[in-house]
Amino acid sequence: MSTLDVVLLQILNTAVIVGVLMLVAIGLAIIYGLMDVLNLAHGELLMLGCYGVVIANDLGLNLWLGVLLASVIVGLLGWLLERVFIRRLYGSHFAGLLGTWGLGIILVQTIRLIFGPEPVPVRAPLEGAISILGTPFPQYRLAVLGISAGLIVLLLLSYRYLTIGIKTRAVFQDQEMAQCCGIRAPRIYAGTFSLGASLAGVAGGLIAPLVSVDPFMGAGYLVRSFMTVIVGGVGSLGGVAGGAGVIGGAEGVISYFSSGIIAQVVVLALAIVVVRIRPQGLFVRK
Amino acid sequence: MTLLKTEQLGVRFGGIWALRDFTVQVEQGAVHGFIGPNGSGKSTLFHLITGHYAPTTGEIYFKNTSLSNLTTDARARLGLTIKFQITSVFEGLTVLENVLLGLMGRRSPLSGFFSGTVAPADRDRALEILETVHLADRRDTLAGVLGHGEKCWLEIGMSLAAEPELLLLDEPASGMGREETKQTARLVRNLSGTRTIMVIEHDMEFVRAVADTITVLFKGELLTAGTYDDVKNDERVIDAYLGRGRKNG
Amino acid sequence: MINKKVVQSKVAHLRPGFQVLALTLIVGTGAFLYRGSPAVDQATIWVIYGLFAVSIDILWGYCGMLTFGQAVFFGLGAMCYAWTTTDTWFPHVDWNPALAGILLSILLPALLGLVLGYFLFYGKVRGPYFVIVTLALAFLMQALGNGWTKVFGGFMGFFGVPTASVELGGWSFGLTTPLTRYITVSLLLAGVVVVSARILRGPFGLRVAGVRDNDQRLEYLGTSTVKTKLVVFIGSAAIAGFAGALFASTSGFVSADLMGTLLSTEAVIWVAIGGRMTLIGAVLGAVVVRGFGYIISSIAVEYWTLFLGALFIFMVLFGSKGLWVIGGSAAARLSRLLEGRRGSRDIVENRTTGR
Repeated sequence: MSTLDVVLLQILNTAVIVGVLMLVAIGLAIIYGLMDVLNLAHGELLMLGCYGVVIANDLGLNLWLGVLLASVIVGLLGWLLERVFIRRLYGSHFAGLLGTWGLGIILVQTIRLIFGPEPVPVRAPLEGAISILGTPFPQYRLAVLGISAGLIVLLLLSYRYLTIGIKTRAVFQDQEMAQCCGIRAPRIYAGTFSLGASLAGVAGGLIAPLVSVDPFMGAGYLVRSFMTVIVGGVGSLGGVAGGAGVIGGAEGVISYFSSGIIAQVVVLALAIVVVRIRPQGLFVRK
Repeated sequence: MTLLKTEQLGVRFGGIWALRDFTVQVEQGAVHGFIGPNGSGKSTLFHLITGHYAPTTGEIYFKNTSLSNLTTDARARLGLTIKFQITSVFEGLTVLENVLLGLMGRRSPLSGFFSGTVAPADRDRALEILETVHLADRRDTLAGVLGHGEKCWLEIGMSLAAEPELLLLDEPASGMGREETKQTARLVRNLSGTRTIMVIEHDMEFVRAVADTITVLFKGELLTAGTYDDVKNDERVIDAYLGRGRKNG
Repeated sequence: MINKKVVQSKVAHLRPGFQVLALTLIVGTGAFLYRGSPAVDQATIWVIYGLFAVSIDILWGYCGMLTFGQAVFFGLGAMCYAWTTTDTWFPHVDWNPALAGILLSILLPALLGLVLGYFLFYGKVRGPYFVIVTLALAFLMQALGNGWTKVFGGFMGFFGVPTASVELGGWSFGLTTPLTRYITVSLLLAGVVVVSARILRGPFGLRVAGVRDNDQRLEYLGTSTVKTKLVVFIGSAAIAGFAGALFASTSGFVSADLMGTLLSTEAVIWVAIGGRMTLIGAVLGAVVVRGFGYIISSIAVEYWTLFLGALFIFMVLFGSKGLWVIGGSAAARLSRLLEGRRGSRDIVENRTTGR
């Protein structure tokens, strides 16, 4: 392959990282934005999505179906968790942080006890490459990119224009008032957590064939989404998307020249500096 | 002598000017009242002076020093103290501890690092201040338990302890009944003299009792200024409050 | 004539120190009776964890800054000790490697605290954002260390870290037996607690309480909350680092996991269980949880982490003021009952009255 091919492929890889990171970070941001809970178990929800596909793999199901099932199941689990546990954490930052962290530990350990600590390989639903302008792009990565982009556009549009989006914005701005208008806030909370969870789940399902799947993989994605939210700001979905672009892009570029860990350390340092210079985030108006 | 002056001070949020082209001079030793209907920019002015908001245009000078690049705590150390509209005290600490923090506020954070106790001189001074604001018998009560009026007085006490040259009071009588308002007015009048006070208030009786001079704001701009009598009879001021107002020019 | 009140106020900060010593005496004796010398070494580790927990209580309990990354300072301190006393990438140290290691274990984390604190506090990072930055730091330091064999020992860590021995001008002193180690560590813990209690009872402690309660208000009164937070952060980092060095010299083994998220968050639970803002509560929590873990691990080590997760959730849902406070009020009620009195609440320790 020529140098141009290598560069283009790296760009594609970085774009995939950014797209998936956007899905995860948006999920984290809408939960934080609406319920003021920083869901420290979010990485584990992604990990569950991965294992959903693993199970689909084992059962011999169509792998695209596996991704869909993973996101639906994780979404349902999210809904259940909100109703049973998460809603008891509202109002106290300490409770939210420690509670979701404990939940994350339990999820990791449960999966470890069932599947073992070793990485599990997952086959991709699509194999082979498409040649675009002479460069062979892996089909699956292109598909992941397309699906992520599509989902994000769908989210942005529905938040803006669909009734459910308007209701969510109302609860976000003033819960009591919204309830006076007949909007059922507890349902909105459950629904939002469920949505955030299924976004993490679908992200997990999509990347399962591309990365090493083990019970401990969630923390890395959690940290990345934090960096995204810190750098991009949490006020708007656009800000989160921008943050994902910066963080994913930086990591993609740096990890090409050095290791993945070094890339993450540099990105953390970057985030800390950004927080000093522009505390509200790069993409949020003051 | 002019203690504080602003020159064409303004701040813009999104498309709206909360305060615009505002110039005022506050004389040392005076009690300077600020009135105007809701949304006229009075609290915004105070937020700009303390550094909570950064101005879009204009300058603020305190004792002829520009406040532009100074942080909130740096401005407080210059001798500028504020009491908020919505009471803000240390709810989990006792009344005495609240005033002590006011007293020690301007010192270096490391002063008395290894002492083990608060200096007796400080404790005595704090108790004196509590006498002034009628809270001496509540000194060991947690501030969070106090009633609204008492919290207001506590905040005034804390502000006093900081020994400010300029004291900003944002609606000190808000939420108070007749008697409490009168007591507060007496308190504020007693405080003036060596100190300069800027007061925002809606209660006109209160303003008449305390203010030497009054500045009227409307929709973020200066409407007029003068003594209570000047302002009370000004057509434009009456229109502004009744909602008929539209500034000329 | 001695003024009783003045004397009382002057020694008030010594009380937590004595309480800590009493606690370590009980724990040490218990451990010795349970299984002899090896258990005493285990108990030494618990006391060191107690010191680590004290550093978190200062930062979180007193100053209100919850952290999920305090182990970074702890692990870094352990690393510093390992670097100077064993054959690693660090240049060879001739003079008192153990002492040098301990000094480094205090200075390097303090320096890291300064740099980190500068960026975070001037950027007004607080609450959840502070938690996630500290969490990210712990996660990354652990990952970095596990991969970087030369500096952090990689996956295997550093073995054979020697116990502390000091040679100053002809006089040498070595912590060679479990008993001397236990006593030394207990005394050091008590010393740190006494000094911290004194500082926190005075004007600085009042400012710290102001930061915890309403830091914006404190700014408006003229106090630089950034500087105050920095001092607390650096101090707690130094204590954590010091605890790390003691850990290294006692356990003989150091790995990057000592800088990680699991230890950081478990330590928060120790403080929550023992009782925030009491210093001794932190020690109590560490000893109780770790002691419990010691017993469980011999039965089912597989499930310890799972149990920890459940403990987190339990603390959050059914949280309490902590064992120390609950124990204290229970003891007070019991003593009043025995004396036949009723009513009157406990006297609140009050720095302004000096009682």
